[in-house]
Amino acid sequence: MTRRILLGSLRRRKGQVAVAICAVALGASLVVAALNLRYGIEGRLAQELRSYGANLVLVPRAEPFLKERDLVILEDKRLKDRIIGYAPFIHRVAKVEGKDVVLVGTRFSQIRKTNPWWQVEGRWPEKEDEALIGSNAASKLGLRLNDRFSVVHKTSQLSFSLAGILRTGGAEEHQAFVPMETLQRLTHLHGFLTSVLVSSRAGKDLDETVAILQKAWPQAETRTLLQVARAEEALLARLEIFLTLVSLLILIAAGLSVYATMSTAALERRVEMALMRALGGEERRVAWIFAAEALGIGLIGGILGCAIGLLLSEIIGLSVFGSFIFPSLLSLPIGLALGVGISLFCSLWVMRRILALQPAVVLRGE
Amino acid sequence: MEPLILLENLTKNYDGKVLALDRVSLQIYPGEWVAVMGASGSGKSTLLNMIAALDRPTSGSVRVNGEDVLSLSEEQRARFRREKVGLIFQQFYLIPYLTALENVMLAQYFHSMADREEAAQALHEVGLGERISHYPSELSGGEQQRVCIARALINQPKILLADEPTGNLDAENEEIVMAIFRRFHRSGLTLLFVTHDAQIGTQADRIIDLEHGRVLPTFPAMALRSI
Repeated sequence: MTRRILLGSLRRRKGQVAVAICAVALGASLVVAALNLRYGIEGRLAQELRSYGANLVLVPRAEPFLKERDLVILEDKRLKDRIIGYAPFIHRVAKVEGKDVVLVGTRFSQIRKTNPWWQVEGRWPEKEDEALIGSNAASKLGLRLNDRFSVVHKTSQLSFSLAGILRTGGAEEHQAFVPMETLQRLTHLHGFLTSVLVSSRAGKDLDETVAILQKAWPQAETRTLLQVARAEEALLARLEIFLTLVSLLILIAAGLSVYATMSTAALERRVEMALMRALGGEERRVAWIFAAEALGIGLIGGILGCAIGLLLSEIIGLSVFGSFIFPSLLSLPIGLALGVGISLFCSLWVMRRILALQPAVVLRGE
Repeated sequence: MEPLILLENLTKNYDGKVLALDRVSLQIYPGEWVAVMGASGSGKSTLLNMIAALDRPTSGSVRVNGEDVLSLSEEQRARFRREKVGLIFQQFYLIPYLTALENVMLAQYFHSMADREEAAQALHEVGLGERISHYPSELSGGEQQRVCIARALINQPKILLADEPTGNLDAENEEIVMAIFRRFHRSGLTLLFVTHDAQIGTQADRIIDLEHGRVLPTFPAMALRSI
C-alpha cells in the first residue's frame, strides 16, 4: 500500500513533484559546481601561475657542477606530475667581441616553457651557432640582429649569429644565451651544468616537491625562489578562503531554497497527514510515507543536480581556462547528500510540527 | 446496559478565550442513533472530535466502550481511532491521488492489511461497485461521501461518527446517503451525527441539542418529528 500511495502521489502530483525535484537538483547542482570550481580552479590557477616563471632552482651542493645525465631524475614518475617544466643552464664568463660577458648555455625549447614572459626581438635560436643576447649587452657590444660575432673562452673560440635580442626586465638583459651543447663544447665542460630552473606546482605541493627533489638528487641543493613562491602561496591561500566562503554561501542559499520548496510541499499536504492519523495511522507510519517520498525526491534531485553541477563546472572551466576542470570526487557525495539530506530534513522538520498538532486542529483548517 | 459512550463534565476551552464545550455530560448506548444539533459554533464538531480522540479536552472525561480515551498515549489514540470508530466528514477528505478503492484500502492499511476484494465489496454495498477505479475528482459529491462511508465502515467500527455528512450534498444524494445510514443502523451500528439540519436530525433515535457548548434538555427525536 505504501508503494501505491507513493506511486499515486508521484503520478497524480507530477507538477508539484517536478518543482520539488527541480529545487533539489538546482541546489545540489550549485553546490557540486561550486565545489568542483573550488578545487578545480585552484589547480588550474596554480598551473596558470607557473607562467610567471620558475619557483625552484637547483644548484651544486658540494661539487662545482651538476651532471647533465642526472636530469633524468626530473623525469621520474614521482616528480613528473609535480613539475610543469625545467631548464638546465651552464654559466661561464667569456669574451664577446673582446668584452667580458656572462655566457649562458641552455635549451631554448625548455626555457620558453619555464620563462614564457621573455620577449625576443627577432627569433629564438634554432641552430647550434645561433645566439640570443640581452638588450643591454647587445647595445654595449653594438650588435644588431643577424650580426655575426665571435666568442672566446680561454683558448677556444666560436662564431655565432645573433638570432634575437632578449628583453626580460632582469639580469638576463646583460647576458648572452647560446645552445647548451655549444657552450659545453666551447668550455670543454661536456655533460656539466651550473644550475637548473624548475617550474613546480605552487602551494602545499611545493614543499613536498622540494623534499622529494632533495632526496632524489642529493648532489643538488634545491632552493626556493622565495619571492615567487610566497606570492603564489599567498594568492592561492586567499583564493582558497574566497572560494570556500563562496561555496559556503552557495550551500546556505541552495539549502534555504530546497528548504522553502520542500517545506511548502509538506505544508500543502498537512490535511493528508491529519486524515491518515484520523483514520488510525500512527505518527511514525504516516511520517514514513511522506519521508519516503521526500527521500525519492531527494535522490532523483540529488543525482540530477550532481550531473548538472558537473556539466556547469566544466562549462565554466572551459570558458574561463579554455580546458576542462578535473571534477572533485568529494563534490558528488556532498551534492547527493545535500539533495537527500536537505529534502528529508525539511520534510521531517515540517512533518514534526504538523504531527505535533491534534488531527482535529489541522482538519478544522487552523 | 452500559453506555457505549460516556462523557462527564467535558469542557474544551480554546486558548482560554472560546469556551466550545461547557461541562457536557451524556451517555450513548450501543445501537443508538444520536443526532447532535445546534447552531454554528455551538460546539457540535468539537464534541465529536473529543469522542473520536481527534482532539483533547481541557477537562472532563471521555469513555468509549469502557476505555478512558484521555488516558491514552498518542499511539494508543491512533489504535483507538482505527479499531473503535469510523469517521465521516462534511468535506469528505479523500486522498485525491488515490482511487475510490485505494481510499477505502487506506483505512484497511492503517488497521491491519489492505484487502482489495473486501474494499471493493464495501464500495459495492454503498452502490459504487462500478466506480472503484475512479479518482475523487471523477466522482460527484454524493459518490465521494459514499466512498467515505465505505472507508469509515471497512474496519467494522463500534461507532460511526459523522460530522455534517450531508452538508455538501443535494437532496437526491442526501437521501441516498441517509438510506445507507439507516441500513447500517438497522444492522446494529451505533451512529452519532453532528448536523444543523432538523430533517436529518429527526431520523435519529435521540437528539442532543447544544447551545454555547452546553447540552439543552434531551428529548427523543420522535417528539421533534411530531411537532
